[in-house]
Amino acid sequence: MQSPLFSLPALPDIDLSLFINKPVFVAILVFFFVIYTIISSVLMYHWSSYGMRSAGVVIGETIFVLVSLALFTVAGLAINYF
Amino acid sequence: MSYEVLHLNHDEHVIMVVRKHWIVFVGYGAALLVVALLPIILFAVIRVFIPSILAIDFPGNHSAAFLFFYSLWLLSIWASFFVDWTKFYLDVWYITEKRIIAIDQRRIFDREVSNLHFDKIQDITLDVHGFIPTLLGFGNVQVQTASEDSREFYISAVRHPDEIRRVIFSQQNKIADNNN
Repeated sequence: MQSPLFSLPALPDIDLSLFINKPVFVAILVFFFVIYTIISSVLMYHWSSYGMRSAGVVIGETIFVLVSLALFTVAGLAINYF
Repeated sequence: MSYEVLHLNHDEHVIMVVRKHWIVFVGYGAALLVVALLPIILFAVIRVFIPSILAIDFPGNHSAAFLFFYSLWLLSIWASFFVDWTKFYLDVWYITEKRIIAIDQRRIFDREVSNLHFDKIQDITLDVHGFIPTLLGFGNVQVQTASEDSREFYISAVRHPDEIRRVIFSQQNKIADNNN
């Protein structure tokens, strides 16, 4: 006797191109950028309000901004090369 | 450096800034470094043990897709690192000629500023416990007050706790001498 399971339709193949494509990557990057900007603003508020313009805060802020920009650039270039 | 935010008196100056030892932050930094490398480690493990997962195909450049998500991963870790660094850096004691201004930055939106005048200090307890704290010269400082509520001021893992106690007692003695 044939198993009733054999009468079930085959599972459809998931087309990953619907989820992994340039517009989706751009949307993810924009969403991420908005969240990152909010967190950065909170940090910068603390540094400017309570950091008392100390050398440590200035150096820390500079490193934070430069590395963040570099990583966002890499993410943007990755979309371009995708 | 500008101390305007501390609202010091016109004849008051910061003579010592007390922060936690950098070693406290190294553990967190090392943990984040491992987390940063986790996708690469995971990729290597999958490649060896379950290579069939990597056979999933999708259009586009796979390396670029990996690089895109890995950049976002690193950005998340980078922001997390600086949130913790901010808590570390802003958790500080300022010692002036008259008082201790203790800033307790517990979380990013949880900050307490307390003042302790030297004439209220009853005792200072130092605690340098263990091999690494002894080697690197850091420990905990606890200041007991003689005020009605007998409040205690505490900061952990600070550099040169002996020096902190010396400065506080020295200022306390100066104030006592001036009053006599």
